[in-house]
Amino acid sequence: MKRIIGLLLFTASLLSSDLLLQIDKNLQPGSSETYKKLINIEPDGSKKEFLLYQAKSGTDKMVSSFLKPVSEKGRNTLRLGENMWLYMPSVGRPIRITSMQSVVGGVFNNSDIMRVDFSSEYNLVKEKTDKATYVLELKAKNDTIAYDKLLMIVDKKTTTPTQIECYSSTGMLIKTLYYKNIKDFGSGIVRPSVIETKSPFYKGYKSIMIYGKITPKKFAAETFTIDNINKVNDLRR
Amino acid sequence: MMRLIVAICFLFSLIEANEYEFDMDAIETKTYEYSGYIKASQKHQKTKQNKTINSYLGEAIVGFDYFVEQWTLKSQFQANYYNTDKEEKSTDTINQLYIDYKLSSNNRFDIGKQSLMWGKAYFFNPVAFLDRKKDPNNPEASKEGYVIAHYKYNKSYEKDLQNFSLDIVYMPTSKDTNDDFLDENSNTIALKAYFLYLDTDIDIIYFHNDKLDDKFGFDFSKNILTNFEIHGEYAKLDDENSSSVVGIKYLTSYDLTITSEYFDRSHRLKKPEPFYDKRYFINKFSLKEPFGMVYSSVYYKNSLNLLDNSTQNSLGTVYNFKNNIQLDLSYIKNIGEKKSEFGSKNIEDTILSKLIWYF
Repeated sequence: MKRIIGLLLFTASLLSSDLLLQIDKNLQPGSSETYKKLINIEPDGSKKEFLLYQAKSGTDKMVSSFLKPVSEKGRNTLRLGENMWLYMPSVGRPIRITSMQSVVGGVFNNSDIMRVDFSSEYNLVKEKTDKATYVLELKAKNDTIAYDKLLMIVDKKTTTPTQIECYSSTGMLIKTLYYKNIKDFGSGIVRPSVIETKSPFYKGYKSIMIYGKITPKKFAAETFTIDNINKVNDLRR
Repeated sequence: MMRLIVAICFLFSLIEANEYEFDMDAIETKTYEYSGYIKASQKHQKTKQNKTINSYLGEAIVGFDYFVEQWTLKSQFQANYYNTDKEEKSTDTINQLYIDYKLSSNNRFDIGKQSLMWGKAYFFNPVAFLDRKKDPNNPEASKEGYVIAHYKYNKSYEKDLQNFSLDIVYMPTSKDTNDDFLDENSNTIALKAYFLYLDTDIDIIYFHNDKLDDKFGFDFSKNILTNFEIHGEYAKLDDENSSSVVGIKYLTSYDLTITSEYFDRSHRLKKPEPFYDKRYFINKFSLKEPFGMVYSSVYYKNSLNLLDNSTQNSLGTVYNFKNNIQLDLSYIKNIGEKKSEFGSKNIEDTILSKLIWYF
């Protein structure tokens, strides 16, 4: 009997991890380049916009470059698993940073902007399902991950998130991400094109991430090294 | 009534659609790029004789890059204007001007004037053998490089050793070339081996010049926690002299970044060079978005000479406006006994305002 229960639990965990892998696959192909815009909206309605280029490879390698505003231009970040570096033209060399820091200010932090696959950072610990959605509870694989727990609501039809609540290890709600506006980006990529973020720590503030273009593309492994962190923009050519 | 509701809903959907608009023209690439800034600073200083000195400084930096297939031309030019107590001076400098050729994803070669920026520390870089000396009071000011030929090999792995790279640098000096490094004919070869091993950055550096002593350097950097980074550098300068730095960077849950560095050198430098003494402890506390004010930060920096206990203290605030303008206001005070490094400075305190426009 114990063996049967064990086998059932093992099968369930395999299915669960398959679901997380499918969500990752639907959100972004394994190796791809993306253009996205970040908008920070202040309580008085004033806005600050950032334009980003990102290249991703595998489940946990990513480089980013700010294209706009000009005050942030050339500010590049590299993520290799749990390692993160920031390159600023004024400093002229990469410096190690943490995932909880915010490169741009506002509600989004580095981890939100440099988001790698959920399956590389989280284990699925609980799953509920109803007619239209899955409700997933994800637990961080280790304490270097920015959020200890995620509560994810997933649309069954598109197998993409509609809402994610991010919690600290003390159980405090840090922010909520709302995935909106399903868009066909071509190459079989159909996913929400807008992520809105609200945080109890930034009352009245709202941050929006808008995906403009996602294209599958292969990159050399050396693209994701600190020697090339100041050359991210070259990938666009 | 129904029509009015439909019209309002339509209007709201239009507003939302506009909010989510993405301008595809903005992501088009060009064969060239330029960027830079213009900075205007004003210093209001009080001397020990109670005299007031007003200084005005202007700085412009323009970077221009041109891309042709595997070739890139990189350049940066700088112009400065100083008006110190009505005495005027201006300078212009080519900070960088070099050509980079990408042979493959593993091999690159570049030649021309460029800064290498070796080292892992923020305020002192003992292993930056081929860079101009950093001013711990303004670590980002040193942008001018040397004329060098530079080959780089870079390889990634999916093992404990995640990345390895090797830099080979040749730098000549003469009365006309790199003369502020050495004012005579000489040849320098420098090697730097970099390893990303078990999530730790490690550099091993060797410097050889046919007229100077050989130098050896080592540095490292690692995140031991998600919000806690440690780094260090050690440089063996000759048979007798060495210098080293160890430091941390710690981010608290309320966005306070603490950067601390302990610097030790075996020998004193010639006065009156800044930070000429043997041992220093520098701490910088930077609080992001105080009182919920986004795009702003406040900072306090303390540079302590551990041998004479004199200090230099800066308290400041930075605000980034939405139109690419940054304002940095600070108050700087030297404290120490009469004969100490910071206490002996004739300037007692400074109010410094900087306005930077990026383009």
